Amino acid sequence: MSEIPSDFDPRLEPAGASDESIQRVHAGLLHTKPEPEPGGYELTPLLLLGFMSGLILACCIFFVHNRGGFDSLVYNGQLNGAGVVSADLTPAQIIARGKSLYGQTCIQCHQPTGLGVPGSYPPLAGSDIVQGDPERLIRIILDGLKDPIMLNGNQFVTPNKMPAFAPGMPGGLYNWSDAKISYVLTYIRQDFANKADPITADQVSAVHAKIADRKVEWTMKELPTTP
Amino acid sequence: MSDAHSQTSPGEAGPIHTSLKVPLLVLLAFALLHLLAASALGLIAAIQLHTPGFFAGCEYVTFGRVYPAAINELAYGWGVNAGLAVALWLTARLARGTVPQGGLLVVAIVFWNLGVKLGVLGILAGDSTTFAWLEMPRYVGPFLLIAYTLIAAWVVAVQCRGVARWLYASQWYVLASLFWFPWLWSAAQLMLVFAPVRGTVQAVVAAWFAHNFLSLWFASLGLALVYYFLPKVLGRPIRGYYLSSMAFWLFAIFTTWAGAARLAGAPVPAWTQTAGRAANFMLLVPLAIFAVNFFGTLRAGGLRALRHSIVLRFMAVAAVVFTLWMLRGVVGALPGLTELTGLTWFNTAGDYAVVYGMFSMAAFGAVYYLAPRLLRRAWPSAILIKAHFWFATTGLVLGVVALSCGGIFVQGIGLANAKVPMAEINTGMVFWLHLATFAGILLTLGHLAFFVNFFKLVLCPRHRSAAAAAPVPAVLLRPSPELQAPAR
Repeated sequence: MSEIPSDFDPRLEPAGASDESIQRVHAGLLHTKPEPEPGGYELTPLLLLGFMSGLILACCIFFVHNRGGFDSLVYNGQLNGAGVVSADLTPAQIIARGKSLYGQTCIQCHQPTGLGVPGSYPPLAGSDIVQGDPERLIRIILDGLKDPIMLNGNQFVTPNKMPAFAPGMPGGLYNWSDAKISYVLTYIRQDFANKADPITADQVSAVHAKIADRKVEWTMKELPTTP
Repeated sequence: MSDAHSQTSPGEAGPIHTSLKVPLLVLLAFALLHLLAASALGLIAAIQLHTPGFFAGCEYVTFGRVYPAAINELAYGWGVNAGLAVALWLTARLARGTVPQGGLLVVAIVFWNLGVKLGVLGILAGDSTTFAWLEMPRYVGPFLLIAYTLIAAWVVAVQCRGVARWLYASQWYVLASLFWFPWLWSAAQLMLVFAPVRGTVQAVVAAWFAHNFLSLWFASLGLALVYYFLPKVLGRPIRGYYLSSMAFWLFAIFTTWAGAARLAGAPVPAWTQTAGRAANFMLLVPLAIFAVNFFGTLRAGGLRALRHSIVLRFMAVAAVVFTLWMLRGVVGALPGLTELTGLTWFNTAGDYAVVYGMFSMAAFGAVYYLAPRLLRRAWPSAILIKAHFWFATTGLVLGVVALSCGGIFVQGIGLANAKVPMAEINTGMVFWLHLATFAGILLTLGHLAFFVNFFKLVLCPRHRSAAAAAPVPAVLLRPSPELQAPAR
C-alpha cells in the first residue's frame, strides 16, 4: 500500500454523498411532489395514473375472459368453460349447479319451497308444466311467458313477468348459456318432490335453434298443450 | 486515529465498521468459497448438457445431481451469504447502529454454512427434494431456518440499536426481505417436504416458492443496493423518489402472485394461471416507477460517471437486467407466447438473469465499495476488478442470450411442431448449450479474479507488517459531501 489511491481509482471509490444527507434529503423528497412550472403541470404522475388505470382495466377484462368459471377442473381458461364442463359433470354436480342458479334468480318468485305465491306466482312443486314435455318448459325459460298463466286449474296474474333467459331476447337480462339453462331445469324437475327426467344442454340447444328467430314472450295459448 | 474519523466521517470508517468487520468478512469469505464451488459444479452440469459422457461414470456428479447442487450452492451458498452481508452492512450504515456480540453472530454464520454444505453434499448423494430452488434435503431444512433466523435477528437488532432518524428506501427492501425469506422457506418446507399437500397443489406451492425466492429475496436485495448506491456514488438524489414507496408496495403485492404464471399450461385451475399472468402484467406499474427512479437518476448523473465508477457500472447492469427480467415476465405471460416458452431454457435463463444479473452484479459492486472501508486499505488490483466486471457482464449476456434464443427458436418452435422429432430439437440445442458453457467459463474466470483480489486484500501477505503502519487512504479520511436537495 505504498501509494494512496486518488479519486476515480476503482480500487477505492470515493463516496459522492454521506449516508446522513442521503436519508435526510430523501425523507423530504418522499412527501414532496415536484412542483410544476407556473401554468404548467407535472406529466409523470398523470401518465402513471393513466397507465395504471388502463392496466387495471385490461387485467380485469383479461381475468374475466380467462377465469375458466373458477372451476377447479378447467385448466384452459380460453376454452368455453360451460361446454367443456357439461360433458363431464356428474348428476350430483348438475343438481348442485342448478340449485345454486335457482337460489340466485328463480327463488325470488317461486320461493325456496318451490310452491310459488298463490294467485301471483305459480308453484314448481307438482307442476304439470315443469314435469311434463321438456320442449314446452325449455321454450318458457328461453323466451319468457305472458299472463295470464293457467296451471293445474288455477289462474295466476304475475306482478313480475316470467323473464326470458336466452341471450339476445329484448328485455332479457340474463343471457344464460344453454348448459346453464339445462342445469336449472334439471334441478327443478328433480327437487320439490318432482320426479322427471333430467334435461341436457343438447336438448336445450335443439329447441333454442328451432325458435331462434322469436323475440317475444310466449302465451299459454301458443304453447303445445299436451303434457 | 480511529477516534478522529469517528468524529469526522462516522459512516465511512468509524466504530460501525469496526464492529462490522469480522462478521462481514466471514460472511463474504464463505460467500466467495461457495461461489467458486457453484462455478465448478455449474460448469460440470453445463458441459454434461452437450457432452453427456462427461463424468457419466461417477454417480455423484451425474446431471440430475450436479445441476441442483450447483443451483443451491449459487442460491444458498453465494446468494444468501452475500445477501445477508449486504443487508447487515446497509442496515448498520443507514441505521448507524453497531453490531452487538459479533462473536455469536459468527457462530450463527458458521452454522448456516455448515447447513448449506451438508445440504449440497446431500443433493450430490441423491437426497434432493426435486423441487426447483428448494432441492435442499429434508434434514437440513429446519437447521437452515434456525441459522438464518439467528443471522437475520442480528440484522434487525442492528436496526433497532441505530440512531438514524429516517428510513431510506434501501432499508424497506432489506428489512422486508429479511422477513420474507423465513416465511417463504418455512411455508414451502412445510407444504412440500414435511407435510406434503396433495396432487397439483404441490406444483402451485413450488412455483410460488421459486418465483418469490427469486423476486422477494434476490431482486429486493438487489433493489436495496441500487437504491443506495445511485445517490451514494453520483451524489444526487433519486429522481421521482416520491413514487418509490408506491413501487415497493405494488412490487410486494403483485410479485407474490406472479409465480403462478410459471404454471401456464399445467393441469392447475385456469383462474390460478390467469391470476399469475395478470399479476405479471400489473408489475409493469412498479417497473415504470423503478425505471423513472433508476434511469432518471443515472441519466441526470451523466454517463461520464459510469466510465469512472466500477461500482456504478455494476449497479447499472443490475438495474438494466432487472428491467429486462420484469419485461420478460410480462412477455412470457402473454397468452400465445407462454405456449412457446413453457418447458424451455427461456424460463431457466430468466431465473439465472435475476439471480446473477440483478442480485449478484449489485452485490459484487457493493463488495467492491465496502471491503476497502472495512479493512481501511484499497483493493490490491484495479485490473482484476475491471476483469471481473467485463467477464461477468459478457458471460451474463452471452449465457442468457444463448439460452433464451435456443429456448425459443429451437426448443419452443420445435416442440410446438408435431412434425419435428425430439432428437432434432436436442441436436439443434447443442450449439446454444456450447455457447452457454463458454459463458460459464467467462463467469468462472470473473469469479476467480474476484476471489484472488478479495483474499489478497484480506490477507495481504506481502505487506502484513507494513499494512498496520500504512496510512489510511485519504478518500476514507475526508468527510463525504452533503447530498443536495434538487433545486425547486
